[in-house]
Amino acid sequence: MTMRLLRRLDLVLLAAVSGIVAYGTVTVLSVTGPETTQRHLIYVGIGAALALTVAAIDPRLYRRFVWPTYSALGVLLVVVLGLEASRGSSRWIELPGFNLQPSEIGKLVVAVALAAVVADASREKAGTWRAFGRSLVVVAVPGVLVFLQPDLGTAIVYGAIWISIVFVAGARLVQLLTVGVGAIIVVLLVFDLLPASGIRVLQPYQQARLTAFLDPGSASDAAYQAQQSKIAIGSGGLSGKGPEGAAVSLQGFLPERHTDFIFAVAAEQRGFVGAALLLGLYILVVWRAVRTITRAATLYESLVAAGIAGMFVVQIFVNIGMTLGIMPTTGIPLPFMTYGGSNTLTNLMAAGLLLAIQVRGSAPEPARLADHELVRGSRRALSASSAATRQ
Amino acid sequence: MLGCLGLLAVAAGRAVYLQVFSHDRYQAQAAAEHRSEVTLHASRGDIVDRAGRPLAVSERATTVGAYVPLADPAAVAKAIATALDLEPESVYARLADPDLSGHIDVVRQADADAADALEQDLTAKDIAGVTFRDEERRVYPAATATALTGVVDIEGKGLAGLELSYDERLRGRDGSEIFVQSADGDLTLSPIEVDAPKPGGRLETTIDLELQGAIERLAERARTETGAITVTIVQVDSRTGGVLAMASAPGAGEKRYGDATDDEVRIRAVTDQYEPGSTFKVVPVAAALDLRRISPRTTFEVPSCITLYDRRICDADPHPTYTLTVADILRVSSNVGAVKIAYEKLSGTGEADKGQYFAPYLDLFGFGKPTGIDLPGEAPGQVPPYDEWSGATIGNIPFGQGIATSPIQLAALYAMLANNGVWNRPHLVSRIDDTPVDIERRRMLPKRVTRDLTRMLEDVVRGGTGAAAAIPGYRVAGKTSTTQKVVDGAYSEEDYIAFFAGYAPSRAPRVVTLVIVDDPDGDRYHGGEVAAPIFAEATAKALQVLGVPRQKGL
Repeated sequence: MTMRLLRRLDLVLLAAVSGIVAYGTVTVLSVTGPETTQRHLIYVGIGAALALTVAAIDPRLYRRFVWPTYSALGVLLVVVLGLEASRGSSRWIELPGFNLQPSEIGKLVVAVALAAVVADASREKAGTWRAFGRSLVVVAVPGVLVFLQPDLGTAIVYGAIWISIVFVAGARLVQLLTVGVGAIIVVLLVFDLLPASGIRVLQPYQQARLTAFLDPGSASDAAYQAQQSKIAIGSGGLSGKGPEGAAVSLQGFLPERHTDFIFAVAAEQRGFVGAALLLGLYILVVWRAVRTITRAATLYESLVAAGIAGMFVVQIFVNIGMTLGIMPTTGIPLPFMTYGGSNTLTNLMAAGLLLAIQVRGSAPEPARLADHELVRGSRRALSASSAATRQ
Repeated sequence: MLGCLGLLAVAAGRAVYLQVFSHDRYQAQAAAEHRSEVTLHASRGDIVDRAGRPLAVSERATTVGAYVPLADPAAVAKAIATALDLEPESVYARLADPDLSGHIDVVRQADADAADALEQDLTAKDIAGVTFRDEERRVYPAATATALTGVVDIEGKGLAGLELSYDERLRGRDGSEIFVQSADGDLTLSPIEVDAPKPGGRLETTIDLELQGAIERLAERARTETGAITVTIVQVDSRTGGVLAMASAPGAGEKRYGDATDDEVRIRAVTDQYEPGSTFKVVPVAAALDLRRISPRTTFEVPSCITLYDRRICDADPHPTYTLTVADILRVSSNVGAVKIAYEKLSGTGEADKGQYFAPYLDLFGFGKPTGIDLPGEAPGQVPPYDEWSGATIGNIPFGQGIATSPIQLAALYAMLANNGVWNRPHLVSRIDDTPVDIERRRMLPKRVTRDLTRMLEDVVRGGTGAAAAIPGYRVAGKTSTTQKVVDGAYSEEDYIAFFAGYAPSRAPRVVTLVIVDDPDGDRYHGGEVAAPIFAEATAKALQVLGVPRQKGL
């Protein structure tokens, strides 16, 4: 990286992510032990190194390897399905000292592959049903494989990445509506029509998780988790109980406290003050991600940024919404906070990718976005940009 | 971007809703699931006599429990019975009771040392299933003043006597320790909050254990000697109103409260009421003196009997018409004289105003109302309200008929006379935890009146009906009374109650003694014959205990 590139590094994004990671580490330490925290710090360290490496590499380089990588992801996802399930789902490949979760890294692979395929299609003619359909296939193959693990949460994130990319690329309303209607039909089939005719699509625990938030009083595990999460957050009050006094999360009432429900731990310990601080940091991250869309040097990079932005937003909102009891319990981790290897690495690398796109991107003038690969979507990118600058 | 912000704003709004507006609800839910409270028992306060000698104390005890059914109930029963000195059969019956299961108490509040030995024995024999729980038990080491001290139930709740009337103060306030309970039900090692128990208050009474013991024995002996149904003795410190001793025979003696009959632990001096008879004659005299209607030397023509309205009033023994001074009337205890004082000196001018100036003194002296003594079940006494007085009422109340007083009321009246006219609420507890108890004091009469009355009551002992109340070395003031018991709604000619009320040393009084002998056998039934000697013995003992020096030449 030259000095010029270093000077253009997005310090706001860097600071916001670092802040969240630090907050997450402190929170993990408070509810686990030094051993787990040490592992977490190792992941963070590796993740940071990877992120900086990614930031130094020209993102356009990945376009050349996108299909081999995409194919490798597909193979890994198939392999995972064949492995023995742990905790009711087969997501991990056991490596020495590390359990690799291919679907996590897959988020980035899918984002890059989608950006590539959509950008390519836009070069010919934007907004065709054919290009739209092609992008749908690219996301659907890994998405379905992930869903079959079963890992509904990650599948939802894949979907979010796809929607962000096609939206920024200028998908037509009718196309999105078609998918929306299709989704509703699928949901009806999955939850209602097929079970009624004796075909079970969702695992019972998945169905329980998805419906539990509608009925917090029910006795299911998912309802219990959601209830304990609300008790932890609500009892935290305005200024929290401190790390020692946060009994709901400390004493084992709140499950998955250092992973999926880590936001509830933070909110119990530090109250609304802590929760608001975290939300503020996430708003910074999302703002910088969206801003990157408009400043990318190429459409391809702009769409990669869009995919990452969508991935962040969905993970943040679904996870925090789940802890607050306004979203179903879907097992989506909270970026930069949740303890875990693959997830931490993926999100930090995503942030690194954003940095890489920014340093090679244009100055704020929108005209420069258009000069390389003029696209229909630039209008939306522009409006997104102006929205971001209004902030 | 706006959409993204919108989503996070929704999350923030939800966080505000949960953490600010619903905080109390979730706080309560959190507390309910992870706070576990352990009660810290407050030790019950001791009760001691005026010298600090214990009447009631709490000591460590151990409750032995067991998880039943046991593998070998016979072996456990044998071990428990041997260690705690119980019948093995009854212990076995409880341990092997087929209706019981789970944890049961086998022996409540056993001796702590014996229980410790039992625990070691069971551990050595490797017998499991027996539990030991620390408790507190109440013991009464003095075995005196049993009725006054009262008793607690097995849970330490006051049931009678001072244990009941001061239950709340004796109990103190239990504290608690709040532990954090984990989802698995484990408690943290140290509590997060400690609310230290407030131990119960220590009651320091005015009872003198030595005197109380002597008075209890005296009452029993007097009852045997007189053949009375009951003998009640009350002794009050005339300067403070503090009860020095209070006993009735038959009493509990050295029996424990629970082993005594209801009659034996009845505090007759407080719960019973009697027609006070001639001891009450001081009331019209005090009233008339106070109103300056008479002096001790004012004379009255006193025939053997007079007729007032439809009522014929006679003196105890027939006599020719005398001219008697007020002092004489008290000395010979003339009913006719007492009625004449009230009728002639304390009435208004109208026919309907008989005793108009007398009735307010009954109220002033507190008759018909409880004194407020700190013992349960005080009788208020009975006084007919003035607007219900018939013509006959003025003919009997002045000599103590037609009204009822509790012994403690009467003792308090004499204590007021002894204390220069200042009445103190009679009481047993003077200090709680070294803080003096507030005692109500009221001036009822001027010193002038009580001085005159004391002189006249000295005459009663020196040369009147109360001669047997004299105590060598002390000047004594007092008054006898012999009342007919009411049997089947009429005054009996055979059953009497003998009274003596008085105080000594009369010029600087220390102790007031009231003796009531209910229905003595035989021919000797007059207060002066039956009650006065008991008074003398009781008062002499009190003066000795209080260390009041004898005066030469008396």
